[in-house]
Amino acid sequence: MGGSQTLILCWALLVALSVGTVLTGASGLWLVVLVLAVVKGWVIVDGFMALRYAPLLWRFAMLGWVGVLVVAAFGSTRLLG
Amino acid sequence: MFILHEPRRVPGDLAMWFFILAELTVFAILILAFAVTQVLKPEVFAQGRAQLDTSTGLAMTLSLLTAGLLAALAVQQVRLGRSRQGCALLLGALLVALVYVWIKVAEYAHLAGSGLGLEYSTFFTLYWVLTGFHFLHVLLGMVILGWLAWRCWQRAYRVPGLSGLESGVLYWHMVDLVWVVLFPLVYVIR
Repeated sequence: MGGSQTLILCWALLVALSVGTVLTGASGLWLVVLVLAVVKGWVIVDGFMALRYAPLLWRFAMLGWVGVLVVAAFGSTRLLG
Repeated sequence: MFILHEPRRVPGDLAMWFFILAELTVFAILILAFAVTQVLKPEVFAQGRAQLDTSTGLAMTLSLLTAGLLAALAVQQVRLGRSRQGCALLLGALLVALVYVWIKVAEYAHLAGSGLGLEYSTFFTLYWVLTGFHFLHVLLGMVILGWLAWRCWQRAYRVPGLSGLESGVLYWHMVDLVWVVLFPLVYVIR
């Protein structure tokens, strides 16, 4: 699969996940919303930013930002609230 | 048999990556402030969020992501030596980003017109600060996209000298990345 096709696939996945976020959020499935946010961040980092080809330090720094922030933000909202 | 792998490389300039990391740190502080305050004042946040339209947030999400796709495709085209196609894709990204701006400005006007300004409640204080800060980044990103389109039209980028183009497009992807965390936190979670 060519680079352009991969990017279009990433975009389609992001669109589907964004719609899924709204639907699951309306159903109160906050844990699914959390997972979808992490997956969307992952697709942007590895797909759009092309960090899947980058040194692991940079890749994990960006993925870590998404993962830690989403878990901290959503987790505090739901677990402490 | 030897399998040769291309060395791993960071796209764009290293300086841009440090800038992106600094920006993401600031956004992380603001997002955490929003989340922690929500724990402290759940009812205020529930009332505030009820004033927001999730479908509007979704439309903004789709416009930002589509602009991101077009910008990424532009880099691909320039990498293949097709600068003018890259220019067209960057202009497309700029147009789609304008849709986001149009929706966001309409939302801001609606909220301000309804008296839901910066001082209305803690939710709206943080809403205006957080989304306003992101909005400013979108505007800067659009200026960058316009500049990159102009440089592509001039055929200024040639392999392997694409780091300027990659850096500019990376900035836009950072704007996307922040939004995919902001959107569910501000608009969706009930």
